Amino acid sequence: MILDASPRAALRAIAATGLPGAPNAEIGDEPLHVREFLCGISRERLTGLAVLAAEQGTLQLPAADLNDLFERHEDQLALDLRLEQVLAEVAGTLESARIPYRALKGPVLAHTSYPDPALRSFGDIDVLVPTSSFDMTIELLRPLEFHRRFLEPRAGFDSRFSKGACLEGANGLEVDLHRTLAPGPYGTLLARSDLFSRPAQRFVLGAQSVDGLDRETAFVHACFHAALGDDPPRLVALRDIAELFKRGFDERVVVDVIDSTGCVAVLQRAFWLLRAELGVPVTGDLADWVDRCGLSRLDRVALRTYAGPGRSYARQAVVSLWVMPSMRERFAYVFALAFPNRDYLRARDETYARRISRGVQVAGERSAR
Amino acid sequence: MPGVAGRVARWRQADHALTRRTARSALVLAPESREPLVLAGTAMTVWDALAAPADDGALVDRVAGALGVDAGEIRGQVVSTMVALRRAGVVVES
Repeated sequence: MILDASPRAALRAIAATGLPGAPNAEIGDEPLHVREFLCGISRERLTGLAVLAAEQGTLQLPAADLNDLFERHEDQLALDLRLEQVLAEVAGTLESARIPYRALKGPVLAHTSYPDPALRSFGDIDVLVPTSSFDMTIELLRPLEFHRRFLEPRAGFDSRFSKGACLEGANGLEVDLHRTLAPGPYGTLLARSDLFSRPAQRFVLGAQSVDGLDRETAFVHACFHAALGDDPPRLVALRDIAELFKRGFDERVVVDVIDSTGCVAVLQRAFWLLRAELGVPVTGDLADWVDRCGLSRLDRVALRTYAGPGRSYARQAVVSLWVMPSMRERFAYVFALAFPNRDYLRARDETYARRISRGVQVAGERSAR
Repeated sequence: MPGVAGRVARWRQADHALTRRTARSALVLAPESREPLVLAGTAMTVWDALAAPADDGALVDRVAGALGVDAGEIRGQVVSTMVALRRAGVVVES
């Protein structure tokens, strides 16, 4: 029984369905509450877990609303299949061009970590490619009718500094092309690790074999997604961490990656969120190691740029400067952001003066803290 | 449904279709299609029955067995469903 009857509490209960100690989803009898709950389930892409909760009896819905839930689930599964078809095409294109890649998140976890792929839905496709192949990959995907959704500040900026680029297809489906696994300072730190050093988890989509991120790096990515993504965090990202814990992985590899890149604060926050949001106990050697590690001054500053009132991409950009490997990189980064090309400015209805003024303001805020 | 003259056609699920299941439906996306089919009721049972190749007679028997009804009662429904599934490209000749 849960005491918190807020809509978020009901969604959390659904996200924890089947996990040890998971509460029932209490959504009240008001039609408005049920409608809000079902919209939340769709928004959080939790329809599969909600259907499972209904089948297990931990979610009680009137017949009409249960039918609505099934229809929402079928709509989401139809989207999942269309996206998997896109992923298979992208994977085939990259393999033909001999570009190494790793599929990330949704489809990989659905097929390699969850007991049934219908339990893990997604809204886009995420693919990681090496920095050296980033721009070429965008060109290769052009014949599949994918183009950049947003302009980059200057040519080559995304392949050098960004988490990646969002590519939009003619059918409205999106491919997030990554060069690292998170934006901002922690993404920059993690990019120091070779994310292709471990063998891929291969899984099959139709006629295409797809290279997914290995389980250990997928665990790291799930923690990054939960801790540094949306605020409040995506519940499905927290469920991913729980599913990966259930499946098991080599914790020593995770410790090596996290220790060598200085990103333990991300795992600390992810584990804290998993306990607080889903009520899942996080124990074992990895959890003990993470809990023992202290936070640096950089961590305290960096985490504030991802969560809470200080969350902003501009602040993440400023803190990223701290962790860049050389002055030359920092200069190129600041120059590109301060003096982007004119098309970029026009698309944002900005001027150089306004942009520089805002950058100075954000940097000043940070120094004053 | 005759196949090539002189022999009995056998049918099966198309290779490389992408699929998902719920308790009440199967979603199937054929390789050449862009829009998944949602199969429910008898159509889902027909789809399941074609996990292994079957000719029309065997298919009707399988579906009748799964639904617990007489084969004669559902023959027409199974055949029309089969035609629709073949047109959609999710069922092919074995």
